Amino acid sequence: MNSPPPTIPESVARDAVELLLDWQMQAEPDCWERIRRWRAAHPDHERAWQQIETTQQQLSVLSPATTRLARNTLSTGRQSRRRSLKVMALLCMGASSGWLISRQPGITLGQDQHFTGTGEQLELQLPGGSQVQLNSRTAIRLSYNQHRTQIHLLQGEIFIQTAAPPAEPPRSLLITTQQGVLTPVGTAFNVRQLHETTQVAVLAGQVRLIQGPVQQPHLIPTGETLLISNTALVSQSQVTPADTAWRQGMLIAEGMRLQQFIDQLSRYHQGIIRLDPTLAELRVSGSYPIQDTRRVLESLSHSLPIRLEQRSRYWITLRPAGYSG
Amino acid sequence: MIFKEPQARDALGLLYSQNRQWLLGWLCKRLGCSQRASDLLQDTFVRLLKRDEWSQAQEPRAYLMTVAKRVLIDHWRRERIEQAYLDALQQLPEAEAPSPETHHQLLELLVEIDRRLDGLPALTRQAFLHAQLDGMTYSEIALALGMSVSSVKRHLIRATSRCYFPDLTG
Repeated sequence: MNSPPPTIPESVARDAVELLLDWQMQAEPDCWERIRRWRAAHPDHERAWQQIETTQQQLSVLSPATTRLARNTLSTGRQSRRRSLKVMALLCMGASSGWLISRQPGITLGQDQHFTGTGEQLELQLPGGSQVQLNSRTAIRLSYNQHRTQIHLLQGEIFIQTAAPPAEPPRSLLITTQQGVLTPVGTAFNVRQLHETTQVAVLAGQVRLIQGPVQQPHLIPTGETLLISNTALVSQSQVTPADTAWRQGMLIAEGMRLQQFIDQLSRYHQGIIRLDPTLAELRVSGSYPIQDTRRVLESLSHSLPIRLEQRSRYWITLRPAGYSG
Repeated sequence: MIFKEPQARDALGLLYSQNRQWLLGWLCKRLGCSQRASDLLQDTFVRLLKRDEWSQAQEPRAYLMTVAKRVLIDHWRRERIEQAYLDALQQLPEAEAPSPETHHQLLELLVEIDRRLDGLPALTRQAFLHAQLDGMTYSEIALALGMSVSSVKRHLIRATSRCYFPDLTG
């Protein structure tokens, strides 16, 4: 007989639920990191999170395709007590496992997940020969069946290089973000989950947006960067080397606003970088190594009228050069 | 393994043969005498097999009825959800209907969610469904339900705890 596992303390379960809700509802950039630290802090935490993941696996049957049905069932299924034989007939047709697309943030954290901390990168080989590379602070979950590989981009940025001549029979590859589902047509491309938008940059081949704010599948051609929100295709532009420079460990700026530059750099910086608002519109150009963010800031202070103010190891504030206080 | 040592299994066999008749009658009264009543009788004993508690029960008969009631409640829940599912399915454009192999899985999940949310206030349930199924944000839910964001959070914590940790918060 297996003895039942010790119960999870209620306070721990509550903390886990609050973290989960932060993750699902707010998707703050540091949330994944906080969850990771919390899990590591105590075995009970880890067990509580395991239970959350198990439940999420069960919930993963819910997908954009089925949520409406689920919704209507659960909100109307409170009074009626009639029975229908039709349902049984319907169910008899059902095999037990179906493959599903799921893109609800947080709902699908499964077993096969990979993530990177601040400043880390990771390269993975997928079944069928495709490669996926994770940028800093990125979380993905992989699910497979014999025909398909699905990558759920939960947070951050990935680069995908699909296998040259497709395996026989070809495996299809799907990439799910909060805004939609993409499938490559023999290709190399970059996908980034931003706050409420997804950015796709296609370097070779084409990528098809098969679910998202579109009526028909939308084809993204070579050389195009597309920004997708929950409701629309927001903008199209040319792919630039800057879009994938992270793979070479670089951050490339060409007349970039300092605010935007600091936002980019922050993804690789352990700690907080604050920018005095009066400096936001300064422009930055050049290629900067992202492994050493501190050195990047120092070199900026030589080329721009700014001064670094270090409050602690983790907190750097950029001030105007003449500022004192 | 769910099967206990032979002795316990014999005791259960005895419990079964002594109580089968009246329990079937009890179920018949609630369901109409049918194949279903005897199915639920089986379910009741299968549930006993999976637990130890029954052997310690002071009043085996009362205990048996408690378990049978739970089986019955689950049965009604399933009927209700299946019916609602079918109604919802009929209103869905055909292109949006999930594949046949998904039905079974989805329905099992919905029954389970309904069970876990059982007994929660309607607003708590609503907030949960808005968050999990409609993908609404805190402030959208607050607007839809006419409550503050902090109330929404409170409702969500309650419902989410039920859903993810049913053993603790049930």
